[in-house]
Amino acid sequence: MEASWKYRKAALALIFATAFLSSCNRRLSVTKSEYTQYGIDAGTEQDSSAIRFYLPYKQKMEAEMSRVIGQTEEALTKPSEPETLMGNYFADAMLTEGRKKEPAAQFTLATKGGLRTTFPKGNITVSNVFELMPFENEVVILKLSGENVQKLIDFIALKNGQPVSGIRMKIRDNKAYEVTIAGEPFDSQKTYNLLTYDYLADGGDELSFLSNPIERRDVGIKVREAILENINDLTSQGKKITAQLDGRIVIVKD
Amino acid sequence: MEELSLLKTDRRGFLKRGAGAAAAFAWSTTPFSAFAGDSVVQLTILRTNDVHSRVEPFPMDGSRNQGMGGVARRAALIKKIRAEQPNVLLFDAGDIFQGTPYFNLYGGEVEMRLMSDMGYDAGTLGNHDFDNGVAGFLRQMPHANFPFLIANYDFNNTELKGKTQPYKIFKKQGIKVGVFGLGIELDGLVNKKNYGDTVYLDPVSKANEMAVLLKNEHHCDLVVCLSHLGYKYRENKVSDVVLAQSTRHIDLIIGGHTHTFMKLPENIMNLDGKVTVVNQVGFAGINLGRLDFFFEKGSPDKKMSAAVYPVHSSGLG
Repeated sequence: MEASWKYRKAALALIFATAFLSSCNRRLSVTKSEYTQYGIDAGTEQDSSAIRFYLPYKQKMEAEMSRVIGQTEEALTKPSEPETLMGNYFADAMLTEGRKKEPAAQFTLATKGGLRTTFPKGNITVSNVFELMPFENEVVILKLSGENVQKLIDFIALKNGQPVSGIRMKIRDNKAYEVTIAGEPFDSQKTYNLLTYDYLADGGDELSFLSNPIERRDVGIKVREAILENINDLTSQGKKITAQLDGRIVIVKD
Repeated sequence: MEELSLLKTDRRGFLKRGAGAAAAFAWSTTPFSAFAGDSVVQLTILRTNDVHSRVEPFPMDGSRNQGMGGVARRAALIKKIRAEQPNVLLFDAGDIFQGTPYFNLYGGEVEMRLMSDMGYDAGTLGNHDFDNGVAGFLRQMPHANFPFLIANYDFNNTELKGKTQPYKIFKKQGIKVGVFGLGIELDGLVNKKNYGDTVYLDPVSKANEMAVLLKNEHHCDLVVCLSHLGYKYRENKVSDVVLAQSTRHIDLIIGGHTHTFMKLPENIMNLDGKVTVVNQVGFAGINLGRLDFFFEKGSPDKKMSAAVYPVHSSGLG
């Protein structure tokens, strides 16, 4: 690592095989070429006018990012499987906010890998929410066949749980059973409305079966905006950001 | 900064320091021919790719790239080179957007305005430049005083219709440089909602069309492609290497997308058995790449051995 870092700091020059231009109507030909790569690091002097330009943006950005928008009662972490405080909060908040736009949404799926940080105990800033969801993912509602919901259930079971809301299940040997959605036993003959985000709805993270829904509606809000709105709502109601491990996914070991 | 004055003189000093990775490429030490008099014209092409909204250097948080990059440093370096060289062109190969809250909060305005101040001559579009949709890119275009070149996206049924151009010809001290842009296939990489009715056209056939036009009809002395296709892939997918092998008349491909830290440009034989140079400089403005082309009037072909020589060791201590 040290070596490659040093390498980047060094710049090289090279005369690479020259591109010869042989067309007879050409006045000019390349007879030599050189390559130099400048590593941009602390040894490079700075252009003060560039800094003067972006400083007001930086200050406004830092003020915005460090703005406290809510409080957690305890740290929302994601230490283990099958469910975590961070995952449950995130999935519940997405379902709450998604239902404001689309009340028919029945359950929610995110992925463990998609949640990029945890929330500390105490003050939560805009920056914490950006770190949680740095991508521009947008909320999507999918109407799915029972057959595709079964694939989704199999996926969750195979991964020993994912951040979900509105769906409960037990898992034994990576197989799900006693699955309920919106409080009712799962019925593979029915259709279901899943709320998730575009990255997954487009088939990312081994979820290719999500890209063939019966219907798809892009709600038009970013996931990050939904979470920010959820926290703002909680705070304006005098509530804290909370989550419980409520046994929505239980791994059964015999 | 000393690096420029070191350009041709510090080989001995560098080799003594013996930075392994660099020295490994010094496989030939053929001396330069002398180019005396006015007949030699030097063209300097500077380039970035995948800067990803990295306005400030990476924070000093122990991460791999901490302290690297930063627009203010790049701007100073570019000014310095411009002060020393008469014929400078500055290009970017796409993915200007996304990666820091500067983009999330300001939508790309900061990046575009800084690039304009640095005097970028042209850019192309990367997949992340669609992150706020076609409309989100269009909104930022007034902040750019340079054109976006893209030959294989058909924007006719989108709001970007007429806002980009396939190619542009730059003239520097009598040298004609034809530059065109190529973008990556958006389906599967970008939400359809974000690219809308943009139509992706085959980059290889577009590139051949552009290169023939620039070389044979406009008689450009150098044909450059700004590409966001990616350096190369294991699977059978069009890349800069595939593009170079499948085309004629392209002298230089300024690449992006795969965030590849190429130690050196790669020489690829094209369909005519001539060299197309492929180059990429990582991401996030960690490096600025520089390619100098020396043109001579009326000189016949003369072969030169390729040689690598290191020039700059500032900061190595």
